[in-house]
Amino acid sequence: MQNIAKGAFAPANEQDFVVSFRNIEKIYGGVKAVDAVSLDIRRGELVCLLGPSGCGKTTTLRMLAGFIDPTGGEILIEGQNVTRLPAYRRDIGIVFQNYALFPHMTVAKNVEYGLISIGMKKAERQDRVQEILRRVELQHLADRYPRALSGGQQQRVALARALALQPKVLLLDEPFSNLDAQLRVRLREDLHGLIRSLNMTTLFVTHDQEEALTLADRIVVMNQGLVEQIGSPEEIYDAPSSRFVAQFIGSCALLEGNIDGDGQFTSHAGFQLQTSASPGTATIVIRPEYVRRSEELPTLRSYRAHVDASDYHGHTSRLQLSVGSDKLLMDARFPVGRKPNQGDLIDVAIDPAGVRVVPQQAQEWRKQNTI
Amino acid sequence: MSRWAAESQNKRLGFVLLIAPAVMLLAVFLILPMMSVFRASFYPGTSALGASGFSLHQYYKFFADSFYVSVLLETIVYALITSLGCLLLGFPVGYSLARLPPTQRRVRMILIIVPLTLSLVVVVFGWLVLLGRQGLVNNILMGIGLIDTPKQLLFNRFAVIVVLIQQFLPFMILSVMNVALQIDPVLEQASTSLRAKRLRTFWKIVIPLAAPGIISGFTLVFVMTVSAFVTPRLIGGPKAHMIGGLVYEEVLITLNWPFGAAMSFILLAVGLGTLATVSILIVRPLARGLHVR
Repeated sequence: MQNIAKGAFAPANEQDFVVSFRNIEKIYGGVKAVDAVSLDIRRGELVCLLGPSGCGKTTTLRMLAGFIDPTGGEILIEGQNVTRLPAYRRDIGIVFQNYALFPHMTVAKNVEYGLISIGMKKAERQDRVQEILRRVELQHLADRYPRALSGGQQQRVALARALALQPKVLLLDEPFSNLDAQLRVRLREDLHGLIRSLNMTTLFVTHDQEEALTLADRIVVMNQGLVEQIGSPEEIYDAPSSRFVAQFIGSCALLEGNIDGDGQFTSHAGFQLQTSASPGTATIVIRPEYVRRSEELPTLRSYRAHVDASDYHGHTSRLQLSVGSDKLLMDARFPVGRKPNQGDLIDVAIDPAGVRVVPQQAQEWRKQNTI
Repeated sequence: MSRWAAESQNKRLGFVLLIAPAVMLLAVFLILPMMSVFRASFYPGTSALGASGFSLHQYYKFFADSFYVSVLLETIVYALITSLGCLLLGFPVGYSLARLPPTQRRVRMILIIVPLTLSLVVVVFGWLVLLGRQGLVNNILMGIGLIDTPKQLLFNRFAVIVVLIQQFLPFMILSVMNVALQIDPVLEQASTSLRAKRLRTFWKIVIPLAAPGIISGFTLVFVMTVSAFVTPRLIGGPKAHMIGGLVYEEVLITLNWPFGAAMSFILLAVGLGTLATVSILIVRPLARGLHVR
């Protein structure tokens, strides 16, 4: 998997790496919770660890923070091996899922806490606290206790507290999971702006693909302790390297079958589609927004599809279709009153731009490593 | 009457019914006897039987005699030292228990609670066997050649404090543990991630958040030590006095109930006063801004 990491991300200079995981591994009771994870994070980069719960993303983050000792591998921060250093000597800032604000201290005291730890003088400390609270727009709440703050305000205090120490890398552990949906989007934008303006190197853990796609410069998709794919949000979405990644990010139809010498894909149930891939058994991924009404793509092959279900989502409608016994998903906007209903037949065409053949070797590789 | 009003009245009735048995039991067997003891402390004579009148004689007698006052002070000092000793020994145990997985914690908790099920008299006799002239400790000390002749380990103040601490330690451990269970361990990690070393995390995060457990443990041990009388009588002998022992003598040996009653209430008042002072001077500042769950 290392070669995928290096391939997707060619380093300009080793010095540019703020964080490097080298073959990091953690075994809990004989189970590899994190398995041979290698990752380099460049200065100012926002990297997201994405995966379902139990995939090892939080364990990876906590190993970088120094709360968990890896069973193997090395962690470097700015070239220095910190694998065995205690958390307080690692120069990291962390925002916890539940924020972990000190309940017996005011907002200002919470932010000041780390500055006292490093022995900063009082006058300088107070200036720094004021400055960072202004930055997160909380100066008017400096004397409040955390329990008197809303979830969003608590999150900003946690962020201010971590940033006050100007850490080399900022860690965010599912920072939005305790907020309601609308607030989440707004805070996400605020946080993104703040991290960008500070050029803060950030490692961010989430199980929410939308969060990862909007925030991250690069996404590391993890599954069962292994890195499935590392790449930009576009690469992850448009060129998934495995069935898992394709299914975990966005929705898609997965069809299994064979590709002949002309690149013609035939599913086990007989569905045919022209691809440019090389022959062999293959899984193809079809994203729902690339399935279109055939009158929109008159030059392409048209398929007669049966509508199994039709859900209205406002900006588009999601149709579940059957072509023969193969299932497809379709996202499309229909003119008012012309949305197909369950049981209708419609003609669809598939935009080749939205068809991906999942590399076969990646699948085999995964099979070997998950048993 | 609206349905809501009827409902809330039903709730109130239910509440009264729920607490009634306990309140009645306490009223008949605690409040009433206490009131009669309080009344007895104002009789002028040396017997409560057929006594009448109202005087402060018993209280005057107590404070006029430097012996009684010194025993009162000694009692308070024992109680403070014992509470502090239990805190120093019990806090690490209670805190680490709270950080164990529940299954491991259960076994250890049983080990802590078992001594409480033994009769106090049995425990004290155990100590007598251990510390006596022919006791285990003396034999070991002589065996390894540290001393030539058996030392008098019993019947001194130090022995009383050791035994008191041993008796009351479980209460401190359990109250610290109960509070520590409610402290989110992530707070300690947050402190560490903010460059705080262990000692700083301990003083600034752990101690303030554990303060409610420290207070309740301290209070429990203090109250129980102040009223102890078996331990000082059997372990302390003639050298260590505590008010509890004097009350016991007045009530059951001298049969001077009015004076015994007065001593009881002096002890109660001084005990509560000491606790209030400790709470205002030390505990309140610690617990300020604490999120009380």
